[in-house]
Amino acid sequence: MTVKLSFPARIRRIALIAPLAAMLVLSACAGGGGQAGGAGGADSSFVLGQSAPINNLIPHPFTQSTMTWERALFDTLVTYDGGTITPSLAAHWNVDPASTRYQITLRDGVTFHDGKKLDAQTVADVLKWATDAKNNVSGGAVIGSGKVSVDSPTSLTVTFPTATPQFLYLLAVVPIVDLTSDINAHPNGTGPFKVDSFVANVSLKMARNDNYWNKNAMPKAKSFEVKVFSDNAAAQAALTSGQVQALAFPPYNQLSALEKAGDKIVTDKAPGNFMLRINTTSGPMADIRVRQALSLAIDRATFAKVGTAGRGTPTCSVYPPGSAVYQATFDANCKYDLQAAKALLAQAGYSNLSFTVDTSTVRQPELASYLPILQEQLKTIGVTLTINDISANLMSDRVLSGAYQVATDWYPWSNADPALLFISGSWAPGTRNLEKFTDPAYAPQVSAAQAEADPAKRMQLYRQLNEYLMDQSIVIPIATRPYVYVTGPKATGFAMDPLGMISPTALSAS
Amino acid sequence: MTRFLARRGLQSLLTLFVASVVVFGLLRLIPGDPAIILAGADATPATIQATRVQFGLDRNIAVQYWTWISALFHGNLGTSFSSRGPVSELIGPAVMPTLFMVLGGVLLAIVVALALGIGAAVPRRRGVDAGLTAFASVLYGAPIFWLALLAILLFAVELRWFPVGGFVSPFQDPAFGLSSLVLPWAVLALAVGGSLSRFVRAAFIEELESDHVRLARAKGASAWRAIRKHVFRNAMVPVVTVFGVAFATLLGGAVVLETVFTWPGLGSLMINSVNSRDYPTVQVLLLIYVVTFVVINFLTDISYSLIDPRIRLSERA
Repeated sequence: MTVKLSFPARIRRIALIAPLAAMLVLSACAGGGGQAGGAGGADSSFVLGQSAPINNLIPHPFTQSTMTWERALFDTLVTYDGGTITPSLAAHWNVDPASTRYQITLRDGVTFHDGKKLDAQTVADVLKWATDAKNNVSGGAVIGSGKVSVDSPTSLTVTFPTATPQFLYLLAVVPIVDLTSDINAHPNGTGPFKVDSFVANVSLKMARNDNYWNKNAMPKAKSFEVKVFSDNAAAQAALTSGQVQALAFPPYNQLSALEKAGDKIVTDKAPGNFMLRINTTSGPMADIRVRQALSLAIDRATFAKVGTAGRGTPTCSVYPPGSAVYQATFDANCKYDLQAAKALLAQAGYSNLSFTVDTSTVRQPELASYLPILQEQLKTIGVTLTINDISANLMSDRVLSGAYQVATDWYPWSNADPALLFISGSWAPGTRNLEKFTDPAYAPQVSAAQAEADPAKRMQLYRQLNEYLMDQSIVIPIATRPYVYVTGPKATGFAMDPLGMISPTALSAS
Repeated sequence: MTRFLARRGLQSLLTLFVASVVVFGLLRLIPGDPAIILAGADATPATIQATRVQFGLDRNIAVQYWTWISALFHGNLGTSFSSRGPVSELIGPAVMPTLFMVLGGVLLAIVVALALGIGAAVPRRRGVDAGLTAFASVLYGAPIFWLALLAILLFAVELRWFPVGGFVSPFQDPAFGLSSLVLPWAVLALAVGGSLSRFVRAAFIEELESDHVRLARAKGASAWRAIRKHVFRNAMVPVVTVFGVAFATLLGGAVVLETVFTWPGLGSLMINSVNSRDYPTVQVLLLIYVVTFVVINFLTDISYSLIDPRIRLSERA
């Protein structure tokens, strides 16, 4: 027998009304719009969302994780504006005609966030620190090939044994940081903002540096915050609701929806390309005809549409259209021809080719979404493609250990000085080469281009190298990969430099 | 009581030791070289080797374990591979957000579970039991991330009543801090409360059908007094166990919720640390989870004797 009971009506009413009342009060108090800017314009707060984690505040290596806040906290000796190198902490410099000796004079009156004066010894210490392999500084090996000497408190000289014209471009991505400070969590820089608070992988809050040396570039916003969102949907919701004013590097497939919602896409010439990386020691991939056939079988236009939502440009050129090396003739013969691919495979004796592509939906959703299309297209010519979708970490492991056959990836560093491309293991000749490419003609071509002092001849040598690499197809470029930021309606003054870093000076939120 | 405490203390230490070995060993079985992950895909072999040496990854695994466990005994939680700073500085700031989310959420979940469970167990009309049970089933079946995204879409994006995510301590900014807790609490309360309400309903139905409750009503006790004096405490014994397990599980980090709400708690920290193969941080977090379960189990056992004095701790041990 069940006992039938009833509750006092008064308790029922309180139970229903109380939570609703509390919610209404709390929502009225907070507004829900997040911590968006105050009065707008000057003295506003700008909040940027990104999904790349920020584990610490060491600005190396140069990746999407560091690009959003580096220019806010730090300055470099020089900056790159897409065409020329311009002074920053270095007031001027002298380079010998052979590009082996760089004499740098520092700007007067620059101080770090804690008031400490910038001097040549501090800069020399940073350059030496950059050459230590464990610090993983992009281009550290190149810097390390030179010798740094301090001439006076405001000048230093770097001498290289061979021509190193790419050195100034490297200086554009080596921030000057006070190494005696807590570089992991509270680094001392000279930039327009200084660290206010930092919680790893959560938020980096920066306050305006009112003693910034460059009065022409004094930030408008009183604070700039970078928030980490591990979930893209949450990041998009934060932009739509106004909790953040901009997003860094959202997935391409979100861009149309964001544009329709009234947000603005900010992009520039692509610094690099999406690619397929080929292990040239792996069975049929050792045959150049197989690699060339694979290049012919890639429907680049479809990839650009499907993978990048039309933001990328199809290309076969190693150097993307934004590079000074690029010429339109490189893409004149960039064909999608399955029958030609089939004929080439037959010639090579691989009419029923089977191969495996490693990819990572998390790391490269663009390429991972295109591969099933490629799989179906290759089936029509008798080629079997197996897609191995693995974690980003495992993929890095397999590539670095050579345990892959073909892998998806993308590469940057190709729209500034052409020598910078060869910093990456994807292109470095010799034992570092991730494709295990050992053609004896490769290394001498790279060395000759890097050692050439005459700018016109140098550019010609890099163009020849581009054509050589396109022919060899050890890495198959597919389409350009532009950096993309998205700003909400209240964001003003948002700009990025040609290397993809945010220029924090004019940021503000209305 | 002393014997109980001593026995449980020894059991806990043994559990922790075994857990430390298992945690340490299992982590090293995860595919992926942490030195490569830390150094990046474009790192030179010299950088990768230097990274291995820097973090002691080049040493024998037994030496690595001994170094870690002996440091732990001295209160040193180790150095994070990813932040390069002390692990304690990563975990410390993550505890408060998780505690805020979980404590509040579980308290509300208990209220929801009791309301739905008791409401379904003591129906005035047959339809009430069916309706509440169906509602609880929907909550139980709905994925928690779906509930969370729905809540964000409706209340944060469309209505803009609450923030999309992020945590601010209510001690620093009471208005924004509390408003940022509303959606996570509501989702936890509904999801966990809906799931637990089934246990509450079953426990209350069993007690309501017992002879002593019928006798109490026959002797003139009011409905409310009958529940309060005769049903509640008896029904709560099995329910407390379930609540305890749910609480301990969530304290380990409501990972999905923390990801969706961009909550800087222990769950998010665990995900980030696993992804970056930050062994020291993952090891300490896993040990914290083990300690949490051990403590919650212990407190649950203690609570039995408080709820029902007939239960003796020596029997429970």
